[in-house]
Amino acid sequence: MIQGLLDFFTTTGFTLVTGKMLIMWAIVCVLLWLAIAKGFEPLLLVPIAFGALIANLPTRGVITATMHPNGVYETATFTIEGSPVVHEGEIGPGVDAKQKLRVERVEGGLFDFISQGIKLELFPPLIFLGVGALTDFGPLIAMPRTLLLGAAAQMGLFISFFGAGIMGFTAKQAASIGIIGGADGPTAIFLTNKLAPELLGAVAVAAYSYMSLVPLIQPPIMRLLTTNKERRIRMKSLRPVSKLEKLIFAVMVMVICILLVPDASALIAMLMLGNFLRECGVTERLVKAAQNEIINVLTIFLGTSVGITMAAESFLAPATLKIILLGVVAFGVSTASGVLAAKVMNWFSPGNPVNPLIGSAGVSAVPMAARVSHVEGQKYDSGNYLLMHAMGPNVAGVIGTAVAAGYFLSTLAH
Amino acid sequence: MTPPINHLIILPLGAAIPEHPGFKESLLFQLTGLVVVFIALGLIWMLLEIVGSFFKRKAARESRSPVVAAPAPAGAPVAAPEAEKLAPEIAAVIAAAVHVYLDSSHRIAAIVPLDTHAIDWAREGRRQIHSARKVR
Repeated sequence: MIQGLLDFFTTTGFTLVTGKMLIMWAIVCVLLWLAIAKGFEPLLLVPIAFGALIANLPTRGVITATMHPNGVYETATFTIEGSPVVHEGEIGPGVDAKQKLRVERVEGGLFDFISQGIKLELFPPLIFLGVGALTDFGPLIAMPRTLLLGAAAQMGLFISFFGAGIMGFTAKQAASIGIIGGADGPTAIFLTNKLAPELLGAVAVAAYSYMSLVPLIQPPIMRLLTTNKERRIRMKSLRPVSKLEKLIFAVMVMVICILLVPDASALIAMLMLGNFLRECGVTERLVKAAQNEIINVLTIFLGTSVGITMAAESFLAPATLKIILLGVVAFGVSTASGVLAAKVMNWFSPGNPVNPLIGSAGVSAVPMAARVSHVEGQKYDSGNYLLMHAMGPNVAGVIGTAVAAGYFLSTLAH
Repeated sequence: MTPPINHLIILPLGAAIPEHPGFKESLLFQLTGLVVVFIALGLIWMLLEIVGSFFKRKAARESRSPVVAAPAPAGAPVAAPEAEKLAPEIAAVIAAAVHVYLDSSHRIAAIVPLDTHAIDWAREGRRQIHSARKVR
């Protein structure tokens, strides 16, 4: 019987547990602690951490992963069994025969299929549909000059691209790392999957971790770059924006962005479709689905699919540490450039100044970054309500990051 | 057939950046990217200002036009004495609130005070339901 138990033990997963897996379990615990105990982006960090735990257990029938000789860790690959079928009757003289394959069996685990949502670039645009349905672009439309703050806050992307190049990353990898500075998770995943899928896990974790740490990272930079007087600037009330204006905005932004960077079409089109559904006022059921069921289901799948790429073999590499370092640089520079851009704007319009604290909200991370601007402003003037003003650059940052991603794709992906 | 617009636009740029770009190439690449972002958002800003100016003018026109009460139809009951006592400040506040809420072209036909006695029981019922809930 003992021999039988020993034989059984060899079939269990215990024998397959490695030291690297144990390190990853510790990392998973840290991520779960951040999400659950500290409340940092729990909606994403919990599925990512759980996916990472699954990736670092000796599972069977969950996901297929292969480590290629060049160090690229490829996940979610199927094996399709089939036999060629040729329809002779359809082949005429001079017409090439088409080989058809009759699929008899598809081999793959649960996440081989679910992860196709990332591989085929389905999840990020569909999440953008929900983001669009949740976003009110009214503050941006009422104060369109804050678009410049959203544009300026993309500076971090390009600076960290430069830094990543110095650290030895290729241009495609550098772009994927740089996009962390945009603080837009779906866009970071969308871009990285196309340009450097081998870095997907590290980039996604860095992006979402820094997004969750916005209240810790941004305030010191904001205080460093502003004076006490600037932090107390009260801005003029925003004008009301009509429904028609919001509808025109959604269509206009989509057309301009797609014409300028066609590679960002999927993201921009879905973002604006979601927003159009929200603002048109006659598709309430669809809006509710986009705001709740669709985005929630996809968030679970996206998070776990990203987490499952974090196998120890690929994640515990020097590149991950570099990515985490470059990510915080990107984030910090984006924050600083947003604040500085607001100060520059005040030189040109001293009669109608903006509070420089709202500049930091240009780094997407909706609505956390806007909330940070508001809270910081209230520390110096409790009667100063910056939230709606900060939402302008905040949503402009979403558009700006999508455009920057489109630029990277246009120049590097083809 | 879809015209190969993407390729017309991207090939010159794509060819310009090698796998490991040098300092000058990298700098040029970054500047170009930043300019593209500024062009996109700047263009949106410009168009928003143009579109917004129409809506601002429209809003200014509407705010100048006085709120005209609808004429009472023939045979309509005489307005209650309470309604006649409505202070102009209150009418202005109600009109402003309606304007903000409706956010579209509208005309206030009448302002009628609620018969608060008729809803007292409903209000009391709601109050009891709310007070029965535990605040979490």
